[in-house]
Amino acid sequence: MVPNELTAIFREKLRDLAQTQKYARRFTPEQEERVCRAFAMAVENPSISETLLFELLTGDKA
Amino acid sequence: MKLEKLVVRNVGRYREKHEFDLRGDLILVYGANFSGKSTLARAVYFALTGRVLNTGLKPPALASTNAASGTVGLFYQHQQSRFRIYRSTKGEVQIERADGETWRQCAADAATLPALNFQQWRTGCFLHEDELGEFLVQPPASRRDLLNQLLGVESLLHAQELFIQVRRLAKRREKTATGLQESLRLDGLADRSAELQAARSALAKLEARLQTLQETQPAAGPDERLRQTWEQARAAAQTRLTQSQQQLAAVRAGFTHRDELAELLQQVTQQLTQRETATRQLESCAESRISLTSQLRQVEEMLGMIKGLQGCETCPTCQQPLAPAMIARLVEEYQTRREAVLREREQAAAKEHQARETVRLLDELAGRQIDLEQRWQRWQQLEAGIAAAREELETWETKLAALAPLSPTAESREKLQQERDVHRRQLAELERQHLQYEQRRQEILSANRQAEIVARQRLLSEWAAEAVARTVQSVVGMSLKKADAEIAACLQSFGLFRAQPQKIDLEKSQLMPDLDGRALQTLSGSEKTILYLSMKTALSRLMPGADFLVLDDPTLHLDEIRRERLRDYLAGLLPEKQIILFTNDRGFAEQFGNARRIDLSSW
Repeated sequence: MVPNELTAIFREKLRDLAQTQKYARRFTPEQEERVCRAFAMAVENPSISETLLFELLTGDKA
Repeated sequence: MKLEKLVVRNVGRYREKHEFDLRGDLILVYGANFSGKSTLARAVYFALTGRVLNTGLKPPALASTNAASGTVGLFYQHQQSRFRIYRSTKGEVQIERADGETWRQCAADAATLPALNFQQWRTGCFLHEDELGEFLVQPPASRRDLLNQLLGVESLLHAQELFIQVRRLAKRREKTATGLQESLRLDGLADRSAELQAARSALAKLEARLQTLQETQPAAGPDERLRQTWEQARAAAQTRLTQSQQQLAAVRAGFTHRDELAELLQQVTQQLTQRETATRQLESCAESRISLTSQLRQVEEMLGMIKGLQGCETCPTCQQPLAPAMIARLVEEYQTRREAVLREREQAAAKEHQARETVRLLDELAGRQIDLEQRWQRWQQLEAGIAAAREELETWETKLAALAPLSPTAESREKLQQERDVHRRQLAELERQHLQYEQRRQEILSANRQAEIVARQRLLSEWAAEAVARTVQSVVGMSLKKADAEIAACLQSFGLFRAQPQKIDLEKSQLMPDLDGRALQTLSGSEKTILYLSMKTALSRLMPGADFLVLDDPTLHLDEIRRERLRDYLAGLLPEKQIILFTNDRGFAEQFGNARRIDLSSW
């Protein structure tokens, strides 16, 4: 399965979760996009550190 | 991918170059035991992966006995192109693409060889003789890893692990931020803004009253200005007096009167007159000790020389006969002299030590004398300064007393000024307290904002980690669902299910499915073989490129009925999969109609 296909499945799961009470109306589409980009980066670059991934995910310094 | 030809040289029992035509969907390689069937199966795997099919062996183990190196060549079709790969057991490898009638060297990539790892090749395309045993002894964790390798989801699992670490990081950050938030308290600091406003207002009123007073009253007369000047001069004299008194207290430490210091200084000076005598005495003692040391050395030399004559009949210098009694007397005499000189030297050394100690004490006393002299001079200066300051103070007091008393206006202004000063001090204190309160309030607000941010980040990381976990579940489940159904159908076709067909769950059972509730380890040899074969075939369908199946003695443990079913099952896999079947069961081999047959007994 290529990274694009994985990211598509991941996005679908994110949206499913966003319907649940815990995550409902908590995140913006921009944040969803950022999370998807971070996921694709993690799949394509196994050597990425968790600190960098955190920064990609949140947009803040770890 | 379809295999076309296998070339071996110096591999196992194949010392000469041997070529095997593998074109066609089904290739049956028949041979008795020790005819080299398994060697050929290993050769195909080695050509593709550079590894040995049997675990624990290295490529050099494939070479024929006493051969320096073995070579395997494999010709195959992949993505409408023809390739050949040559690999030696020394590690050399070369891949070539057919370009008409010529072969051109090319790099090893997905375009030249399916992008499968060695585990995927091994599980997807090969069933070798020892494999089932190796699989059964693997622990669940290894089988789980194997499953992930076969499905090619390692990168996804690694990403999952990373997201879990990110979630932990976010939780740690949240804990730190919450800790800071909880540690910040106002701790008695109160909002003083109302009091501050009241104090500022009161001060402003005072300032206004003072201003009004200054504007309405006439300017201060000459007496008033003179009083202010003299009061300043009196204050300066008072300050000088206080400072001098403090300095004098430090200087006179240890003495009640200046005369005591003078008396002590006199005593010290008198004692120091002896310093020159003591120094001379020290020098004399040192000279005496040095002289006695020299004498001692001479006496010891003489004594040594006389002792050297003992036992000689004549003098070695003048050749005169020697009397032993005289020599003995001389030895005794010089020993006595030596002891006497030694005693004298010890006495001289003791005197020298005593004199040195006296000189040291007198040196210390000289330092003390300098200190006392300095204190004496400073004492005199300070006493003079104090007397002058007192005199000046008295002068100003007298002058101020001679001036007329303060006018009522001046008194009122002075009172107002004092009141204003008090208010100013109170206001400054209030401002300080309010500043502290504001700073702490800002810190708390900042900590609250930070805690909110990290809480959102933690929720975001949880969202992402949960979505990754669901993705893994979905991807693995999606892949395995089809495989599970295929295995169940295969087992059904072999008639292995005694009860109702059961669900096979490769993921849950970690690649070791049950059959009618019986664990794989407890099945019979034939049941294990069939279950395992169906599992491999189903998994190989998940791997693009694993288009052929190399089976080494698959009929082992199978009875006649199962062999027939295996034949039908394998025939059903054609032409989707190219099958290369190694067997020593001639009857089984002859059951297949359209097949390329290679009989190793004729080699």
